[in-house]
Parts: sequence; structure tokens; C-alpha cells
Amino acid sequence: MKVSPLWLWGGGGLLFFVVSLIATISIGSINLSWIDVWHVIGSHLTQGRMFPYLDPATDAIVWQIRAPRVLLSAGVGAVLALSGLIFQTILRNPLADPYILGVSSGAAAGAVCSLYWGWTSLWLGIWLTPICAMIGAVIALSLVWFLARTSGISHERLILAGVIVQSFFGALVSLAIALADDQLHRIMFWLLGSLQLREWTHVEVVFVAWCIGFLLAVLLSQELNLLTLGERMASHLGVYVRQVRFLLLTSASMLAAAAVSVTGTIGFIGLVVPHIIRQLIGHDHRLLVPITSLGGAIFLMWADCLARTVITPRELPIGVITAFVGAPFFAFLLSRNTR
Amino acid sequence: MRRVSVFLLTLLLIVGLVGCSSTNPRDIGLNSPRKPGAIHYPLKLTDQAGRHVTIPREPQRIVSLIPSATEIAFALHLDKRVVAVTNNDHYPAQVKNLPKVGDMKIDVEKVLAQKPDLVLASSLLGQDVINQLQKYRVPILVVDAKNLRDVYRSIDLVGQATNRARESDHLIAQMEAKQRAIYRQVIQIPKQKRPKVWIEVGPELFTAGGNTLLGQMLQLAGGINVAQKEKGWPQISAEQVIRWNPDVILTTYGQVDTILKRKGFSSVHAIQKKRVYAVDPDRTSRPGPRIMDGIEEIATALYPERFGAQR
Repeated sequence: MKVSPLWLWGGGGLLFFVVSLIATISIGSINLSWIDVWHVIGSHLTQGRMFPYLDPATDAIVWQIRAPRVLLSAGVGAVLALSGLIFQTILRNPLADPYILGVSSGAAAGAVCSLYWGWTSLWLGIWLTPICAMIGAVIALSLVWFLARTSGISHERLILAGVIVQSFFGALVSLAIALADDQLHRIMFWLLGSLQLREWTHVEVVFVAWCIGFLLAVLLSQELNLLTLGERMASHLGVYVRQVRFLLLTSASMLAAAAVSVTGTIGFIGLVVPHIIRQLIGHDHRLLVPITSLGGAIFLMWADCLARTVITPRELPIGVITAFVGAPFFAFLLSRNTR
Repeated sequence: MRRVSVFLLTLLLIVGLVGCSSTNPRDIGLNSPRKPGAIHYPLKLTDQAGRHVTIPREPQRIVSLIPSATEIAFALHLDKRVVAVTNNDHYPAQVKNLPKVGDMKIDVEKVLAQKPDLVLASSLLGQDVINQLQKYRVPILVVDAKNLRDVYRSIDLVGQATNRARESDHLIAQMEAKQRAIYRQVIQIPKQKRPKVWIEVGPELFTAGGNTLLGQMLQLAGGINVAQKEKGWPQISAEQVIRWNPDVILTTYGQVDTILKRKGFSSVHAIQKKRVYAVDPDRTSRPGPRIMDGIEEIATALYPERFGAQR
């Protein structure tokens, strides 16, 4: 009886994830038959042994453009949702998410700074920007923490501090973009987020980040459960509150930073998805951690699928779609919280 | 659509040829019926935002709020009368020493401090700035060109407003002569030999649609815009760009190397043949007198064997 909800929701979620993966890879902004799409993927997975390679254009469209993009949207969705879940639990605030706390903006500022000054590092390679983003994210989070913490953390102060930090780092990003002559013409990218033109290496960055964050969250899921009772209660029950909190907040910031450094700031997933999943399956974090990851992945995969296909061949900014779903939900939460 | 545009171009060619028998650009404008300095003030004009503007006397202190208008003013020999420009202006070289009144955000106070008797503006700056200046009874002329004909009209408008009508006729004639010279080259190239071109104006695959000035310039330079059916400045999906398979890629923001190395684009003809060119963003985006240079630059990129030799 204890295991069955995990199997039920886990199995169901995984099945839905696989179906979504197959569907969103098959749907695209140009007309390709799904047979061709899966032929290309089959040929790459078997390295051409079972299926011969198709013409290079179709091959590139499916394998270099669409497949990494769909997987990246899944990865980023999972990472952001997980990050939001951790923030909401540890800060015990239903409105917390990396975007609203200013962590995403901090990460964007870190990433933009690294690009603005053109720092390069041989041994860090493509990891440099994500690491700078992570430093930015941690700075932003520390600032929010510092601003919000006077005598315990109240909901209002936390959100207020988040708004302050978010607008400050947002301004920093805009400033860097304004000062850079032609280096960072990607305003849309950093402020609204985009999954356009990402590569397999970006998928790797996000996947590695997700693995670390997920592992930590799963190992500490019992502690997460206890922390929902309040920090004092949790420490009475044997949780090393400070250490656990530090570890999880850092890993949540790292998750958000990894996502931001490859796709810019995409809002609302970290907020909306954990809430939906909580309403579906309750508050047990042993279950919540994996299912929220899956939920985030599925949500962003479909959101990006819409962004790619609604007005083909044009693209919609992904932030538009997530905000269209997210903003009304956020308003709903707010109105319920004030009652 | 194409038939109509060919017809219009032919018409333009005929009208142009009738208008002036010589093709030497230096002689052309001399047929202008307008005498130098023959404009009477106060002058009533309708600008390109459809506003009625009254200019009480010949402007002596002109402030230009948009680089394209600055270029027009300098091409009409108004060097001494342009007293302030924006931070975005860097052509011609003299403007660097002039006072600046802002960039895309105009500082209205600084504009007024110059005591202008004519302000050249664009609707890109937003209605607020224009309304605000209007309150202080400064004559504002909005020049706003979204196609080639509008550019000629802008030049004509500025010429009339500043008592440089003859000079503006001359300038327009020179530009038309250059347009014809390019057209004569391009018309010889059969349709099937014209390259498909992808114009990239931003790294997230933003492009220029068929109804934009840049789209029109590409057409005149003999390129086939793959995004011809689109309008404005849309963002296109990477899948579609690869499917279009352009023969040439033009970028207005540089970064040719990044585009050449782009993952997934290796099947695109332009990448395989290394035909990715950076074009000067000012010449190709400012609706001013240099757009013919911009068209020539595009044409040179598309047909180096035809246009490259002229240089």
C-alpha cells in the first residue's frame, strides 16, 4: 500500500512523458512525416546500421534541431520545476520560485557578465557561463535571504525582497546589453527565454545539473517532508536544519542557473508545476520530487511545442506561453492566499 | 505580384529615361524645374506620419532625432545648419563633434536647449516625444520610410522644408541613376540563377519579411528572400530555415563565424559554399541616401563576378 502510489503516479507519469516525447518530436514547424522523423532518430541511435541515413537536410532538422530542442525543453522544465519545489518547501512559501525570488535574474546577470567581458577559460570550456550563472544565482539568493530575514522569514518580506533583487539584476542585464555594442543582441533571450538553436552540449549541461539536484533531493526527501512542519519542529525530529537547508537551497539555485544559462529566464514553470503536482498527489516529497520533475518536463515540452507550431514558420517566445498559463494561475493562488 | 513589380520597375526605368536623357549621374538633377532657394515661407507640408506641419521661416537650426534624417540633411548640404544629433549618429564623420540629445530615448530638454526651428523625427521614437515637442511649438517633420518610394519622399520632404528642393531633386536623381545601374545588371540574370537568400537581423533567427525596406532592397539586388511571404521582422524556426535551404546568408549583426559553425546547418547550401556575408547594418537599415550603397553591397555579395569588378 505504501509503494503503490509511487508506482501508480511514477509509472503513469513516465508513460505520459514518453508519449509526450514521441508526440512533440513528431510535431514540428515544418511538415515532416513522423515516419521520416523516427527513421532519422532510429538511424542515429543505431548509427546507421539498421536504418540508412536520410537526406542531410531532413537529418539535420530532426537530429540537430528538433531532437535536442525537445530534450532540452524536457530537461529545463524538469530542472525548473524541481528548483521551484525545493524553494517552496524550504522557504515554506507557496509563491516562491526561482523567477520570482530573483534567482533566475541573478543567474542571467552572471551569465551575461561572463559573456560581456568575454571571459574564457580553457579548463572550464562551455561550463564557464553556467558556472558564472550559478554564482549570480547564489548571490541573488543570499541577497533575498539577507533582506527577508529579520525575525524568521515572513511571506511578504520574502516576495518583496525577491522583487527587489529581481528588478536589480534585471536592470543589470539590461545595462550590460545596452552597453555592449553588438555582442549581446539577445535581449529577448535573456529576458523572455528561448529554446531556439540549442545544441546537444546544452542538453548535457542541463542533464548533469538535473542529475545532481535530483539525487540530492531524493536523498533528502524525508528531510524535506519534516521541514514542511517548520524548522524548529524539524530540528527536534533530528534534521540538521542549517546544513540541509544550505545544501538544498544551493542545489536549487544551481538547477535554476543551469536552466537560465542555456535558455534564458523562463518564468512560471517553477511556480505552477509543483502546485499542480501537489494538488494531484499530496505532500509526500519522496513522491513529489520525481513526479514534479516529470511534470515540469512534460509541461515545458508541450509549451515549447506550441511555441514552435502555433504560427509557423514564425516562433513565439516561450515565455509568452508559460506566462499565459502561469500568470492566471499565479493570480488565482494569490487571491486564495489573501483570503 | 512579381509581374507587377517587374512592370513597375520597367515603368520607373522608362520614366527615368524620359526624364533625363543622359545617364551620367552628375548631369541628371540639373533638369529639375525647381530653382535653388525658391521655397516660400511660411510653408505648409504634410509629413510622412500624415501630420500637417507649418514651417514659419527657412530653418537655420535643425535638430535631427534619427540617423537616417541626419544622413539626408547632410546629403542636402545642410552641414552648417544641423546643430544637434543623437548618440546613434556616426555618419558622416562631422556629426561626432555635434551635441547629442539622446539615443533611442530622446531628452526633450536637450532638444529645446538647442533652440531648434526644425526637428526631424521618426515615428520609431514614439508618439510621446513628438507630442511633447509639439507642445513647445517647435516644427517637427516626421520622416518615416518603409519602402524605397518613401525614402525618396523623405528626401523630398526634407528638401522642401529646408529650402533645398533643387538639391533634393538632384540627390534623388543620383540615387535613381544608381538604382537603374544595379537594375540593368540584375535584369540580365535569369530567374533560376538568382540565389535564395536568408537575411538574419538577430542571432535568434530574426529576419526581414517581404514588406520591409530591407526585403525590398534584397529584391532589387537580385536576391530571392526566402521569407518573402512573411511580414515585418519575424522570428523563424530553425527547421524552416534549413528547409528553405538558402544559397546565401546575409547577416546585419556580424558573427559570420558563429553562423558558419552553427550545428545542424551543415546541409544548407550557403554554409557548404561558405557564402555567409556580413553587410553594413547602417547602410542596409537606415532609410536614407545610402540605401543604394546598401543595395550595391548586397548585390556584390550575391553576384561578386558582376558587381565586384566595378569597385
